[in-house]
Amino acid sequence: MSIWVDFLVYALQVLLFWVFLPRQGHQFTLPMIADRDPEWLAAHRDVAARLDGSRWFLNTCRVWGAVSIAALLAVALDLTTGPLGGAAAKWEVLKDLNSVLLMIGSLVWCVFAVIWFRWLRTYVPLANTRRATLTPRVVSDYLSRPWRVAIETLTVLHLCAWVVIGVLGWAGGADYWSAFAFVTAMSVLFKVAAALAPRRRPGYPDRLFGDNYRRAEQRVWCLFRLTPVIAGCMMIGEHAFGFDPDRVGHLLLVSVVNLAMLTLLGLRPVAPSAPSFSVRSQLSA
Amino acid sequence: MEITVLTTSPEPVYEQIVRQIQDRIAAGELKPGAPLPTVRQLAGDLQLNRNTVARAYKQLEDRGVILTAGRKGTFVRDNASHEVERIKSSRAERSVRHLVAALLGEGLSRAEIETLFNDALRVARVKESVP
Repeated sequence: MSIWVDFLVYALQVLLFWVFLPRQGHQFTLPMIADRDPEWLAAHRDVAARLDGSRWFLNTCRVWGAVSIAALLAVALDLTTGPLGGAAAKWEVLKDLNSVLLMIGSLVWCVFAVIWFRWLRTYVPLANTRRATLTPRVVSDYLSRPWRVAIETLTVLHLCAWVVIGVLGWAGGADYWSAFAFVTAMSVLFKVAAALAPRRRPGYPDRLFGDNYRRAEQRVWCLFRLTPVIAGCMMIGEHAFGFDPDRVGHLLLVSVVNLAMLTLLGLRPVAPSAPSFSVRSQLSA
Repeated sequence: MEITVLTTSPEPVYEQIVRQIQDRIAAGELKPGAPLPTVRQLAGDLQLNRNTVARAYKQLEDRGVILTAGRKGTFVRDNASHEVERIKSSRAERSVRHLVAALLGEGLSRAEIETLFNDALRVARVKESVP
């Protein structure tokens, strides 16, 4: 497989994480404030205008994206072996480099998020009037039956495969069973997270995208529930049959994450007249 | 179907929830057997402490309006509308009794109280007829 396939998968991830997602997220700065208290927003137009006009977060993300792509390109073009290079294969260097760059960027993103939410909680009080639906939300409202059946079946088959292979003696030992415990824990964790998602309190994206947001969220969780299956199949291949599917498996995992990001980016507002949308016009009025 | 709570209202928040759910049942918007959101969902949506919503649900359950069926969820009871009507009637009866006792205490006669009530009802009817 050409090294450019790896590069394209990683470059797509970099673009999604550091260009498209921040751009989509930035336009929701004001709706997030309006979501907490629209009156505060109306009373602090100067602060809101400053926040709306601020580009340093977007620019920081773009710079990090450019640095990431440049570093990956340098490895792909053999201009450098990369800081983690050495004797490792080029695809492995690309994989590790992408993971490290993504982790560093994500940590910085988390710091930004913590600062933003702390600011929001400190300075924007919750509105006195609060609304809630009396209709319960359940997973089946947001994810069709065939999808749910497919995911559950895949997860169960995958976990059964581990047990069968272990019982048949094709693989075993402490390494094998601890790997099994890991994929089982991941499967349970993602299942619980997917089940809890419909009960999440509606926020600004729900108001902007309507029920489509929760539907997309469920699809994303569905995709994430595939990751233990992919990782598990890789581990089974390695333990039982001596394959080394690290490269393909890792590319598949990254592609799942990319698909999840594309699902979120594909969301379109359903209510252009919603309060969140009129925030800017209210400010400029 | 939404409910709205006002955190600055003198009426406690859990009572606002109870009242609004009862009103929805009385109006037929929440039919017998209709599922209600979980405590967690409603508390999250209203950005309230879970205990506040749990207290409201407990009160509705004690009054026989809703039924919590373990993991299946919370549902409106079959006879909920009758219960709500009964609760409303008994509350109204209590209020009227208190009022009458207070007016008698003020030294008003039965005839005067009757006149006051009739006048109040007339005013209320006029208000109702105004679109």
